[in-house]
Amino acid sequence: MECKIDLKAIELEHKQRRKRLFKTSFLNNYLVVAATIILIVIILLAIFAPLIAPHNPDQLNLSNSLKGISRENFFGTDRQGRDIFSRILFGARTTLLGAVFVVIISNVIGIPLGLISGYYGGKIDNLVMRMCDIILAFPALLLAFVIVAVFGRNFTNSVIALGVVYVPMIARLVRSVTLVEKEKIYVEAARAIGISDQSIIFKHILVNCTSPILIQVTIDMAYSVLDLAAMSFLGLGVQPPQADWGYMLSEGREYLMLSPNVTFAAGFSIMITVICFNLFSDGLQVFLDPQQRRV
Amino acid sequence: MNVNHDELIRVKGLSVKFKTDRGEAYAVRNVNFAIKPNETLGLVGESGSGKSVTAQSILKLHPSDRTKIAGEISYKGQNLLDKNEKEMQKIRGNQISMIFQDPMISLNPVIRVGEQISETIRYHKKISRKEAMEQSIRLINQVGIPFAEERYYQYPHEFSGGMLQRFMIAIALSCNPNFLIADEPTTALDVTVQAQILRLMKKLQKDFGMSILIITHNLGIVSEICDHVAVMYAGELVEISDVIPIFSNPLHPYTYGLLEAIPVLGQKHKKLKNIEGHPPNIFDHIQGCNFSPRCPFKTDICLTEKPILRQVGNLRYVACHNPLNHI
Repeated sequence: MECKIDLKAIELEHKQRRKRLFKTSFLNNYLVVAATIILIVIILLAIFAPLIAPHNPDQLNLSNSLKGISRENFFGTDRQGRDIFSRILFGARTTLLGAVFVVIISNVIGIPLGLISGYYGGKIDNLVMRMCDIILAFPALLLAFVIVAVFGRNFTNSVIALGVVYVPMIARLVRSVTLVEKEKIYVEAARAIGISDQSIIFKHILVNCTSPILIQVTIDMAYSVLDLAAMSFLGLGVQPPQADWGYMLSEGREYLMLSPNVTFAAGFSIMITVICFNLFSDGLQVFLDPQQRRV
Repeated sequence: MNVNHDELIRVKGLSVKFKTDRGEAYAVRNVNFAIKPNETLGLVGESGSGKSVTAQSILKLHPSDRTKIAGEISYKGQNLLDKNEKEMQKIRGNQISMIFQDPMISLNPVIRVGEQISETIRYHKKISRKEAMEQSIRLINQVGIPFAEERYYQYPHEFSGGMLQRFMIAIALSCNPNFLIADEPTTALDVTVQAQILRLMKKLQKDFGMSILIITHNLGIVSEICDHVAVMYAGELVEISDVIPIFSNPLHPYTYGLLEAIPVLGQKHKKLKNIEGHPPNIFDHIQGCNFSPRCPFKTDICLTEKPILRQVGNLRYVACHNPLNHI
């Protein structure tokens, strides 16, 4: 049976379908669109911080300490007289980058570990899961302190440390989903047509894990902002005078009664970012999961 | 049974044991059969009789650490049981394919159906993405799905069971296999779709020139599509025959019971016939004939001595001390 196949037309059709899908599942959800726009704005602000910031974020001016909101300083100044608005802009860079890298590190290590230990089971599974138990036995921050203490105090090390500490959570999650997925018939069917274990694990099973992974990623983003702040607060993460939301949050705590501006500005920044991130990932999930979206 | 060189696949003395917490479970014992090119063998039996295990061991789909397979499965003269996992991956899908009972769960729910077909093709053949896509669309056409180009990009949940089974068949046939194992391919489908799928399989068998091993407990399917029938009970073959004589002249009491149990349309108030009792537990060891506890025709020898599969006619084998009808 011979039939003419117009590949170009099919691909065009496919693209239009995708567009339609994107529109119905993503663009029609106003909350998601709003969150995405805010996220983009935040990222742009972080990137162009040097151009936008009205003041040097590290410029000390003790005579200008703890000023309220004014035309000169949109969000006021902190105890050292630094412009809070400028510090928020620059802080977005460290905070966002830090959180993103924590999540990337934990996922790059955790997802393959979870997939492999879930799929193969047995000794590998035992080994991986016991290591996870060991890491989870310590409070996350304490373990991160140890890692930073061993490798040196700076922001990069604290990000790596937190990334490693977050591995067990994502690995366990992926493992649990894999345990369910690998028993499904489609895995056996894939094996029956000669697909290798590797492809089954990293293609067939992984795509079925995307929803829970995305949820975990957004939660981890929020947590890592806060954990990085805690580490900076203890002097293990961001080193002063570098601006960072988490650090500002804890720094402002000292004089919260005198002037809440620092804490509020940093706190709201974190809150808005985290909320937008959650909404964005909700939209992404609906878009990515073919069974959730309505065409 | 003589060694025949035009046989595509020969299963010789196949035994499958599973290691479990309760000991070793004999799922399949000493099974022998052969299939010639372009032939269809039906493997019939009730649930748990070892049909699927037999089929899966041909492709070695069982977890190797908990399964013991003995015997020989020779495919085109090579023993599949000697092959390692890598070599088996080249055979699966490429030379021997399999389709499963429930098409609704046999496809990956989050990968487009077309991509699942081209993935299989590209896995076994070194061709470009475009060529694989063209071939897949041609295949989708061939299994009788209209608007193949649009279907290519759809997801499994957008199709009905019958359509999905067609896609499964398309995936199974994507690399032109010589041998197709169909594990209850129509059990999950409704009756009208069953007939369509069977007709499709028959047609494709001719087009592709392949042999089929079809596993079923539906004797209607057997009469529709098979050339030969092998009846399985408690992990052993009890009767092998051409398809016509087994309906007119069953030799083994179990086969007879199966045929009697087929409900007849229009007999409303008659009680459905069944075979009394249950199949034996696979952990138990029965001294005599496995079927003897349920057999209405048993004699003393059935309780003490296990009958072996013996030839009773041209291409006719039965494992019974007192076959029902003599040829």
